[in-house]
Amino acid sequence: MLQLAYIEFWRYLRAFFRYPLEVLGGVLGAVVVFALFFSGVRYLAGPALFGERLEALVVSLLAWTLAFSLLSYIASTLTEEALAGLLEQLALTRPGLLGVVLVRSAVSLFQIGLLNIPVFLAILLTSGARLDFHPLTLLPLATLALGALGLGLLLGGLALIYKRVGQLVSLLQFLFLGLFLVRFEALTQPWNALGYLLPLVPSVAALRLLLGRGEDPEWGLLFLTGINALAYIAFGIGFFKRALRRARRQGTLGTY
Amino acid sequence: MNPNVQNPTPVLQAHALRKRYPKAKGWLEALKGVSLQLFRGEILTLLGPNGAGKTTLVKILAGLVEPDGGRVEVLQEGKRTWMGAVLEGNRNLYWRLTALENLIYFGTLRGLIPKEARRRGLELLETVGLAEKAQQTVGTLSRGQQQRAALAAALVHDPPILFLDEPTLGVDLEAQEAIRTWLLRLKEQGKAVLLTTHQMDFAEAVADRVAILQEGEVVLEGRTQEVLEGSPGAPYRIELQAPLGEGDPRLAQLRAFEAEVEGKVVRVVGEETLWEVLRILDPLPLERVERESLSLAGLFWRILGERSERCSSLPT
Repeated sequence: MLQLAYIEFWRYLRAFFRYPLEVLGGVLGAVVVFALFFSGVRYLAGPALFGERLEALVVSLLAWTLAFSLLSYIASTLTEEALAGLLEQLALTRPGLLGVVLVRSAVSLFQIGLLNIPVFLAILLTSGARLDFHPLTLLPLATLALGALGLGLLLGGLALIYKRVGQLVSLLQFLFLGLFLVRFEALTQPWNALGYLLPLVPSVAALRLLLGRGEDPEWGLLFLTGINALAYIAFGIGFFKRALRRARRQGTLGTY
Repeated sequence: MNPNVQNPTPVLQAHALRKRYPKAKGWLEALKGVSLQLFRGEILTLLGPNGAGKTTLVKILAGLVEPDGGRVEVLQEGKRTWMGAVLEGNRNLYWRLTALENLIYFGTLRGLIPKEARRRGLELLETVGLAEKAQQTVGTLSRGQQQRAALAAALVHDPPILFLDEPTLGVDLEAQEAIRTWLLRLKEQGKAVLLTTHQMDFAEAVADRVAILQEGEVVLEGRTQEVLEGSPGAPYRIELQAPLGEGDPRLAQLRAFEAEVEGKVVRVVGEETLWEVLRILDPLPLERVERESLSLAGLFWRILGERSERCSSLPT
């Protein structure tokens, strides 16, 4: 497994150093968008616009950037490789297509985490938000990443069958932005409980409490973040396996 | 060499494979109960027109497509990745990586340690004549060079079974020759190779056995030479001691039996015709009478022709 992770990371670095502007261009784009967003809003409405909600908004945006980068990564990689006719070669490897995708996803946590640091700094600097970083924050961050990978596998499964899922990914981008901005932790029952069934929502709620308000979330909420993430990663793996089987039955694994 | 005698256990066996795909109205029967065996140290060539089911069969054997019926058995020992494949219509390689990087990457994914994959990769690139292109990204190589690099990548983990779907498609004569020589060497090394191609001369040059697939069925299968020599379409060659004269009345009689006369040589098809022709030639002195091999292309087109005639004569 470690060898697979090594070779995937090696492949990524080779491509990165050969075509650095491709990746850095995306990061730079995100930095500029967020910088312009916060600067523009401040210029138009003054510093009091977000009030107490500024930190909550910033945490939601940070979580959205991280989660969306992760979940779109799997789908876009699979789409690209289907287009290049490489999926069948990857299926003919020892770990198989699912194994390769899982290892890539794990490696992508590191790549995307690293690439998002400048985006996070840009958001923090231009928004003027002050976030408290508690070591416990790592837990909802990890569950957020895990849940996002589960959704990524779901999209990846759809990409195996339908190939072109770019429009769906774009649509999800806004759906998740909306979902992440709703403060389910502030809602009354049953909306609060129902909200926690949605993907990634408990992790974002815990992050808002920890980073934005400097409060420790209840253990019940932390437990929910774990259960939610595990449920979505299990669902994602199950769906991907079924999609792979269906693509094999239809004979469409290698077609685009 | 008969693989059935020397290697009694096939490395791969397919039993009654069936596959159909949905189409606009009803189903397209891609395979209708295909069975075949593949042995070590042999090249089995699948021939057939477009849409005969060759690619579907190769992909089912490689485990990339699930059959609707039948089964595939692969003789396996240990955890090795037993197959390598170059698939038609696919890039097979990462165009943004160099040829060597591709071999290191796929070699590692197929069970080698990266250092070993690099050593094997360099060795194979040398063998296929791409040593100087090892550090060049695959996207910048010519079609023939890409195909040779893909062949090297399919073999980097030293698999006992190799599937090659149209490996010479779109490659120049020089690359074809390199691939042909290499395939023969792989056979000597004991690899079991399943090849599909539309190039009959290429198939005839490398195949130990041929199987002709038409409309999802194997219509002919056997060892290449036996199939060609034993074919009812193979002509008899009668060599006379002296050529027939221009005004010889026997010439018209021979042509009536569709015999081909060329100097001292008379060619006829079919045993009955042979005896009729011999009666016409009697008492001319003969040098020899022998059966000629049909070319693979000739056999292929004859079988396809016979099948389409049979289909058109069926009541509708």
